[in-house]
Amino acid sequence: MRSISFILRHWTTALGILLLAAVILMALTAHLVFPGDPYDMVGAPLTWPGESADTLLGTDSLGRDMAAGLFYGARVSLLVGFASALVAAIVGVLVGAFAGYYGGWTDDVLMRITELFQTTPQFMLALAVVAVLGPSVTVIILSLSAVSWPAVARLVRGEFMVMRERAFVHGCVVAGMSDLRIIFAQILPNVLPVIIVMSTILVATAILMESALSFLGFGDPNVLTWGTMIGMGRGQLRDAWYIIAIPGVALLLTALALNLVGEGLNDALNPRLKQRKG
Amino acid sequence: MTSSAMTSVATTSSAVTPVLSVRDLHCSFETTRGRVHAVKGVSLDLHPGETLALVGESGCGKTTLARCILGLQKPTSGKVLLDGNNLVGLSRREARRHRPRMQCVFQDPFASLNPRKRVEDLIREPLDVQGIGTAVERRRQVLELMERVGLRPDWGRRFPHEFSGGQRQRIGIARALSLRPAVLICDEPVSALDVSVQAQIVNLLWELQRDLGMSYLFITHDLMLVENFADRVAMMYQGQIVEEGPALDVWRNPQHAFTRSLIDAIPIPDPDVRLGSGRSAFAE
Amino acid sequence: MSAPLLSIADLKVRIRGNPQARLLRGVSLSIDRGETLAVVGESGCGKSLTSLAVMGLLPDGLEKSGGVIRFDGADLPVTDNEAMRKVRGRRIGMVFQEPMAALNPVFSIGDQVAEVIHEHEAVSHAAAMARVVDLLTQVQLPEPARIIHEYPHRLSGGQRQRVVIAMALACRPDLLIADEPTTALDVTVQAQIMRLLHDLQDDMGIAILLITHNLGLVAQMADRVAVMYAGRKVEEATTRMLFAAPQHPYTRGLLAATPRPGRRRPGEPPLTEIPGVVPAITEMPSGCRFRPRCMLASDICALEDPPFVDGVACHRAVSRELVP
Repeated sequence: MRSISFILRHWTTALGILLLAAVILMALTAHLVFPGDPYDMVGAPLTWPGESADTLLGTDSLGRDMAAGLFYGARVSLLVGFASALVAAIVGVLVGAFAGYYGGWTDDVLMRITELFQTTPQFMLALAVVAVLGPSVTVIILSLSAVSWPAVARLVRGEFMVMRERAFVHGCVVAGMSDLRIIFAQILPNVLPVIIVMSTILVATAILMESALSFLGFGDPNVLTWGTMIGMGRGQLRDAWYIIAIPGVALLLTALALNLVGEGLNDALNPRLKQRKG
Repeated sequence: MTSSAMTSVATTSSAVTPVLSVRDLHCSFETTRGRVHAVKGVSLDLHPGETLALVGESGCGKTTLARCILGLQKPTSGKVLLDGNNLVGLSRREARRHRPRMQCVFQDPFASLNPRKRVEDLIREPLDVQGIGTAVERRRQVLELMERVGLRPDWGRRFPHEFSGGQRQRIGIARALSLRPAVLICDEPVSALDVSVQAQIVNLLWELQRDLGMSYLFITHDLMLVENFADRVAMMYQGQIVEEGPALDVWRNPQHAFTRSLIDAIPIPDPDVRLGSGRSAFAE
Repeated sequence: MSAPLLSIADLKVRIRGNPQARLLRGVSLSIDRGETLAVVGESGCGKSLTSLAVMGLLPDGLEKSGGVIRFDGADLPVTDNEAMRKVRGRRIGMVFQEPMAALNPVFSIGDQVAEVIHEHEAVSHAAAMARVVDLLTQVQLPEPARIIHEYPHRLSGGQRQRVVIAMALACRPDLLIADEPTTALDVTVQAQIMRLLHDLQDDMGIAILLITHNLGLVAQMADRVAVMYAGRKVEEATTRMLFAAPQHPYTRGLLAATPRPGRRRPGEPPLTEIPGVVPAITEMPSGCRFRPRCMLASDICALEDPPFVDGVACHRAVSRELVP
């Protein structure tokens, strides 16, 4: 029983890594595989996948190559996903670490701010930020970070509240260590594994939210994303469903891959040395 | 009897200024069950080179007192004097100046070392923080300390989880010693260890005191253990020191009812010796 | 002499799928009715594992690889979980170190103790509750009628351990296994709990298997003592004999390392230590496993694991008759 679940878990992690590597490879090689602009017309509109040797995944209603869209879309999706997760993680760690370590009024102030962000519906907040600041990749990254950092902050705060009472932290205080050094050099390395695991999930959520923004027409008009592709295929849902299905499946697999990798990291980083008692 | 002669040097010579003094210390704090007055007016003197045992049961306030002395908890009132300087009310930055003089060894050898640091880094950190010596000197000092506490020098690259409880406690002691403190607060340093290892650690502390002349405030629930090596004992009960005196006197001639009940409850490791006043242990 | 209540013969436990990792290497013990046997040793010696094997509660990944456990004249079906459930709680009660872990925080004390009775006997709830009140009185809890409505977190550590003992005694077992029952408690509370166990034993005639590292408790509680080291029994004797004339160097070391009143000598280390540590299961020495820490070790000690003869497993043990 145990060995089956063990293998299964490793197998799914391997699958996740493989899928994610494929998406990253697509993003990195987009300009080599498809040297032109993904917005260019390359063939007859609404060519079904497999119909033409030039456009293996077919073309959309304006004759643009679906495969090229998929490759360039991967670029934007990954960039937005990873960048916004990084920003969210940094902000969340800072807020959570100070709130959790100092407690008291620092904690009160920081947590009220966090709650302010958290009680606003996430997607609405992101939409509002993009609507006000205008749709560009940078703004989208910022808007997605703005909605996802509170979760990181809460997690990190909880971990710090437990850690600051651990004897080794008291030992550091007694040795005369500064607070910043205790927070970043002593406690943070112990909390890092959970932050990393959470970040993979943040990447997946951000990619999905970016697509949703693009689908609604709030994406950066200068770049082609999977969400844009789905949005534009909406009209042909009955006669050319593949236009939505192809980027949709790509989105699904990427999110799945990130979740599998996150689960694998959780297993790899978390088994807390449970070698106590004899 | 000679040992009590030794202890009397520390207790009676009021000419020697205590290295650590606690004066009328009070500490209360809010908990989920309301306000707890954990320490109620404790005064203690720790003289150079002596071991003062602070003995009490769980919840008596001994841990809170230790935290107040170490500056981990703010007392409500009272003074903690280290070399005559009051530490209470100092900012963390000001307090840091006095840190090297007073270090501590904690109870749980599993929780008291950062699991993500290597042994050599753990022992060197206090030196780094206080900016003592050059990098080369610090590294040499780490090796000396490891040898001093009975750790093999080639273990420096290992992580704490690779060690047994007793070895971790040795790492903790080496770390505490690195700043050459005058006072070592030992908070139940052997209560999590097996008897054979407990004896090793107690003997190590005894040897270090003999060679380096540190003072120990040894916090414990085990009166029989400290009867074996402390100079003086202070009995703490419900936030107050209820009895204080040379270790052997307290054991042989307890004055306070709490001390007597504690001594009566200790099971003596000899089937022919029944507890305290010769009564049988658990059968009347 | 009638047959012992519990007899363990040559019990072996190993890590599943790893024949080299032998955690228990042929442990034999026996307890008569109404007797207290103490099993002592430091952490990692296998004393808790022995009791878990008797209860059929070996942790995941461990297996019993040999030996016979007989209880009240019949083989104990330790691998048959269904059959063991009729034994646990009913014939053999158990008290653990951490009373809070043995109690369910969301049920009242009364319900938890009654649950044990319902598990083994078909009685009405009212009848069970009446018995719970009796039991709580028996373990000397104040106001039992009030305490049945309380929840575990409202009780002190000593009170919780009394409740655990009440649960263990609910079906009047023949044997009580007490695994470090007072290690988490204050000394004064420990004395109360031990006195309680002693009184209950007198009243009910139960046998007690006391697992502990505290030689003081052993001296004051046990009739006989078995000393374990690195997965086997190295010495067994009556309590008086063991303390008066310990045979095995490990037993002698343990006794010497234990603090006791009136032993300090000025200028000498306060305690007598046993050098070294218990070896890890992967680094067991050849021959006698105590050899690397033993002052008396000689060539033969490296060659073969000493057999258990005349109450001791040591090549260098002095025959008991020669001890003055």
